[in-house]
This record gives sequence, C-alpha cells and structure tokens, in this order.
Amino acid sequence: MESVATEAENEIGIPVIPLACEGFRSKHWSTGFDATQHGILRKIVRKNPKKQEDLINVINLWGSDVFTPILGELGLRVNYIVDLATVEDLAQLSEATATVGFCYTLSSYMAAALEQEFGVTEIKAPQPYGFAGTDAWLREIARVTHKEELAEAYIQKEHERIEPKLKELREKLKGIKGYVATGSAYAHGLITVLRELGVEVNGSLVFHHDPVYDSGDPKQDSLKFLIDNYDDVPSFSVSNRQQYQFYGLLKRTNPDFILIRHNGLAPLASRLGIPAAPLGDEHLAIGYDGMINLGEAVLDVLAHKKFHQDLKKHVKLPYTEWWLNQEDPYILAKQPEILNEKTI
Amino acid sequence: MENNQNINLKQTNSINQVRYGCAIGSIYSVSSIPGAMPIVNCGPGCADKQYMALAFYNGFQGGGYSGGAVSPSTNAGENEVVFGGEDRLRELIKSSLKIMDADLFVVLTGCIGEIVGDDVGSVVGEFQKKGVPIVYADTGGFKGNNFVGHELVTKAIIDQYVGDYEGAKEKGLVNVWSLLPYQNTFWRGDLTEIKRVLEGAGLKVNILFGPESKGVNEWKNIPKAQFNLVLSPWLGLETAKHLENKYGQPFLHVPIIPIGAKETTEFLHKVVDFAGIDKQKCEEFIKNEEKNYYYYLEHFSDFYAEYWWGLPAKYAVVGDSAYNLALNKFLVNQLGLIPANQIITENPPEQYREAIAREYKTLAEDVSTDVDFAEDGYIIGQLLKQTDFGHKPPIIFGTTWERDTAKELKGAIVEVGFPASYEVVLSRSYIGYRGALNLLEKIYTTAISASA
Repeated sequence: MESVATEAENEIGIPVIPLACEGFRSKHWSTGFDATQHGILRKIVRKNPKKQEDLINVINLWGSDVFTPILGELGLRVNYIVDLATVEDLAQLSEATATVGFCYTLSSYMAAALEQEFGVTEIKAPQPYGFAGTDAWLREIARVTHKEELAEAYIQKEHERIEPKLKELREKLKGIKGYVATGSAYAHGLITVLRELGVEVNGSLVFHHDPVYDSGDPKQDSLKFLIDNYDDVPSFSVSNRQQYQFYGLLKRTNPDFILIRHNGLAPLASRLGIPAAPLGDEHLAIGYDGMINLGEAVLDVLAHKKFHQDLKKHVKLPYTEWWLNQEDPYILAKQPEILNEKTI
Repeated sequence: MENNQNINLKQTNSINQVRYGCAIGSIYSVSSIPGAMPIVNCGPGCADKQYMALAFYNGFQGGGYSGGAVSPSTNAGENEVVFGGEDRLRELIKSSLKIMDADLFVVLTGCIGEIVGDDVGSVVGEFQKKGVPIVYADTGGFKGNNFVGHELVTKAIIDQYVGDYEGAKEKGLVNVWSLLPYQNTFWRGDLTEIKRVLEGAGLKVNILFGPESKGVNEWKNIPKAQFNLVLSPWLGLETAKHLENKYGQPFLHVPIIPIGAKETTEFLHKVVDFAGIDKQKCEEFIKNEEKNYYYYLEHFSDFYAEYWWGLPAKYAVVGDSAYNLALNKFLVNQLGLIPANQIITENPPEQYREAIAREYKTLAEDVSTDVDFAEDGYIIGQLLKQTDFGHKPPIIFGTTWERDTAKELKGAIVEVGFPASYEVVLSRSYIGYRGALNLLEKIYTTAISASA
C-alpha cells in the first residue's frame, strides 16, 4: 500500500496516505482512531513547526465547538480537528501549545504522539465533566499556558452562573435512576455529570477498558477520578455493545433512562420500556453548561417513556426462555461447558 | 497549480457514493423472513456497516426481531485469519442456539472466512445432522453486492431447509420473487400491496418476506406452489430457474413491477391467465380497485390540469433496475411525463442488460428512451448535469446522493431507493393501485413545496 500511495502522491501532488485498518485487526473500532491519527501524524503534520503559543488542539469527532468560547475566556484559540478540518488545520497540529479532547479513548494516541514528537503538551488532567473535572482541567490548561488568573476568575464566574440552574434541575430529577452505556472514558465523564445532577447511577456499561492511555500518565485515569470524587458505581460492566448481555444488565439495574452514543443498545432498552438519550453531539455534556444541557436532555427523554412502555407490552424479545431467566450475562464465558449440553 | 489539472483521469473500477451493500448485506434478506435469524461469520464491523447502510440511513427501517444488533456475529479477528474460523463459528452457533429464539438460523460467511477457506459447510453440517434448523450461505463480500447475496441465501434455504418434495401442487398458489428487502426502501408496503392485489385476483400467495409473510413455515410451502412469479427485471430469475429444476415448477417473468391502475390491471391479467384460474374474482377485484383509483385520479385532475405555478415535465430516474423501470412505465403512461435520463445503478449481471434496455425502448407506443448503467457518484452527477431537461426545472427520482445535483439543477428530488436518508419509511408503498396514489401525493407535494 505504501508504495502505491507514494507513487500516487508524486503523480497527483497532494498527500495520499495509506491507513492500515483491517477489520480483523482488533476487537474494538477505537483502533481505527489510532490508525487515522497515525496517518495524519506521519504525512500531514508539519515537521518543522512554528510554535503558536495561544493555540490549543481540540480532538473531537463531530460535536459542536463548545471549546472556543470556553478557552477564549483564557485568551486561547482552538484548532478543531479531525472531522471537517482543512489540511492546513491538520498540518498545524504540531504548532499548538497543548492538546485536549473530550475522551481519552479517542484522542490519546494523537495527543501523546504530538507531545513525544513535537513537544506539544498533552493536558494530563481529569476530563472536563462536572464541577470537579472541569475545574481541574481548566486549571491544568492554565498552568501549561500561564493563564492562571484568567482561569480562576472564569471558574468562579461559571460556578456562580450554573449553580442556580443546576439546583432547579436537581429538583426535577430527584429520584431518577440513569444508566450510561458508551465508550470507556466518555462513560466515566458522563457518570460524573449525572451525579452532579443528583441522578442516581447504579450501573454502567463500557465497551472496553483502558487501564492506561497512551501517555501512561496516572492523571488521566478517568475511572479512578470518577470513583474518588463521585463514589463507586455498583454493577459496572465491560461489554462491547453486546445487546444480549445488556438485557441482563438492565434487568438488574432497572434504570429510568439510558445514555448512549452508539447504535445497537437502545433498541433493546426500548423493548424493555426504557427510553434513551442518544448523544450525537458528543460535547453536549462538557464543562459547566454541559451539566445543564445533559439535565435538560434527560428530562426530554423521560417523557418518551410513554412510547416505550406501550411498545414493551407488544413485542417479543429474541431470546430463549433460558436466557430471559439468566441472572449473569457473563455466564457463558464463566461456564463454557454449558455449551456442550444437549442443544435440542 | 489546480489539483488534477494535468492528470489523465480515467474510470477505474472503484466507485464513490455507494448504491448497494456487499453480499453479506443479505443479512437483511434473512431477517426479513419472520422467524429467521442470521448468524454472521465475518469481521467485527461488517454486520453493523450493512445495518447502518441498508436498515438505518435508508428509510430508518430498523432491524426488527433478528436484525440490527441482535444478529450473532463471530467478529473474526487475527486469530481466525491465521488459524481459521471454524472453532469460533462452532462456538458461536452453540451459544446462539442457547440464547437466541428463532425458527431457522442462516449462517452467512463474509470475506475473511471465504478467503482463508473456512469449511463452513462441515461445521453447519454437524448441527444439521442433529436436526437443528440451520443452513449456510457463502456470501463473501467480494462475490458481489447484496443482490447477489440475496439469491445465494434463497438458494441455501431452499436446498438445505425446504428440501425435496414429491407431493401435489396446489392450483392458484404462487411464490413471489420480487423486490430486494431493505435495499428497495419501500419493500414492506410494496410486498403488502403485491400480495393484496394477487389475492384480490383470486390467487394464494407465498410472499416469503416481510410482515405479510407467514415466515419460515411459508417457505416450507414453496414446493407446493403451482408456479413462481418473478416480478422484477432480473432478480429472482436464478431462483426461479432453480425451482423449475428442483420442483418442476414453471415460472412467469414480469419485468415491470406495476405502479398505477393501467399497469396493475395488465399485470393481474397476465398472472391470472398464466395460472389458468377462474377470471371472475379477478375482474370484480379490478373493477373495484379501478373505481377507487379513478375516483382519486379524477379529483386529482383539477390540480394536474389547473395548477398554474408550474410543474415538472421532464424527469430522470436514478436507481436499481426494478424501481427504475417501474417508475418509468408509470410516469410515461399514467402521468404523461417526459423521460430525460435513466440511470441504472445496481450493476445488473451483463446477461440481463440487453433485455432491460429493450423495455425502455418500448415504454409506450410513442415513447422510447435510452438507459445508462452507472454506479459511480461522480459519473452519475456528470450524466445528470449534462442532461437536457428543457426549459423547466426537472424532477429527479433518485437517492440521497442526488440531492446536491438536484439543487444545482434547481430541480425537485424524490428519494425512491438506497440510500434514502431523508425518508422515514414504515408501511408506505409506491406500488400497485394504492401505492401509486401515495406516489402521486409525494411527487406533487414535493414539487409544489419547492418555493414554500
């Protein structure tokens, strides 16, 4: 592939980048993020960068740009990548002062590589969710870019602005139970926001678990940050979007709603009478406004219960009686000999 | 220097703006049979990709009981590439039998298993010997698109599940082989209407796919049918020929799926003649249907004759041959619109193309048109932009891929096939007597809303 791409590049005169992303390469599509980021770093990122002291790389998927207004308060500009970025935006990745993202599972390869190869500081802090996370994240960015005073003023202003709105939402969400079923680091972030809203989170499903991210730095341990600051999560499960396992997990926790960002799980929840808030705009829950946004999103879908409860009465789940009665969604992994029992 | 200025651009065999799924998209041919469950032997993303393409961003049809994230998959990894996937497949089949409730399991093997040479037949055979209702089809993506996969699946179910049959045939019972489930976005409403009109005409129908099918049990009745009806330009001919060999059933090939009263009435006459059943029920049914149809058409004619803000006269249809031909026949004969450009996009096998093109030459006594076979989005866009649509903005029947081109041409667009990402489709049909009326509503609501 490499030689074909190089030939084409010489012929056409624009970067032609081969990305090795065979489907069977790994069990999780996040390996593909690494593949794309590796290709960009190899062939597009400027090799002799001119530092732009006020520029911060923000690695996102396709969420709205909530970072420009936030980082603008610290006098910083944003380089928003990868989707819909220009080639120039990608080239200047090496010229930024620091790199942040909304989810370490997505961004850690790019961020670690930029620091390693070009000295672009990867912000090693909790993810910007909830008060604790957002405060810590802003403070770390401020420390790296020498904007401490601006950051403190902004943090205080935001706490004052958000607190009354948050109080209102907490009232409305009292007694509500939520369940987060998304990618790993993102789930850790979302749970912190739900807990800021006073929503009970008694379970969560993450698609995989990274004990460390590419930098190896413990400050990025998003799961530890969640548990240390917002308490443990009973029934915390790892399952790569396996709908049949989700059934057992929902039966056990019986939430009023679920949060998702990927397809495959919400249809089952629907058939069990449970509505889902699909977070297509991944930045919805970020920062101080994120707590308000997420609270309102949850209130919107709770009303959907009427639709799902009605559907529940009229559909058949595609599982055998045996599975419907199983308590442990992981039983086949624990007792594979069950498979050798008579099938019919 | 402008990009690509000095490059000699030539058509390669790669395309952009894809018009179909790969062979393993036939997951949706399986899941559209009530009670059938696909088991996919392929990489970790294949099934999801086919789902998002065929069943989500195409009318948002949904995976239903056994599609979407329900379908078990081996998620073949490097281990299966290097050491083969048979053990993993065996494990998956065992656990699927334990966990999933279905009447028939269909194992579909994708690229990885086919390329590394998994002996899926022998693994599945182990279960077949124990009496498990399970079959397999080798649907490696490189074999072709989901049209190809579809007939591989139907053949597998017929040969391995329906099996041999020496008994009597039932007069007036017909198996229908028509639209491609999911690919043809309106297939559920369409097959419902096809069944309705055939039953109205006095026939008994094995519709085989969709909500009107009695499911896997209905497939068991395939050999009892008096004949097979292939209602499409080419999809289903292989199946019908196979059934002719296997069960001695003759088949009737009607290439044009009927839209509107003229075509549907003619269609029913053809089928009833072929079946040799009593004509009276059919005539009564037609009389009633036409009465209803022309009631609405008569009322509609006020609009069609007097709407003075301008309506499109010339049209283009971009899509698979089934809907393309059906629409052309209707637009020319029932509405009197003028064909400007017709582009067939599902890559029909070479041997059928001449016959398909001939149908376009005889759309009406005085209307004959050419057809292009193209799949690449850039080429299709160029063809449309080079078309002479006359002095008025055109109406384009196409897919979401044509939206930008339609905007450039300042024309209206009606999405009629894969991918229809701006349509939410439940039971809507554009076929038959009832569907034609829906279609008229859609076309003219779209046309008059352009300036709203």
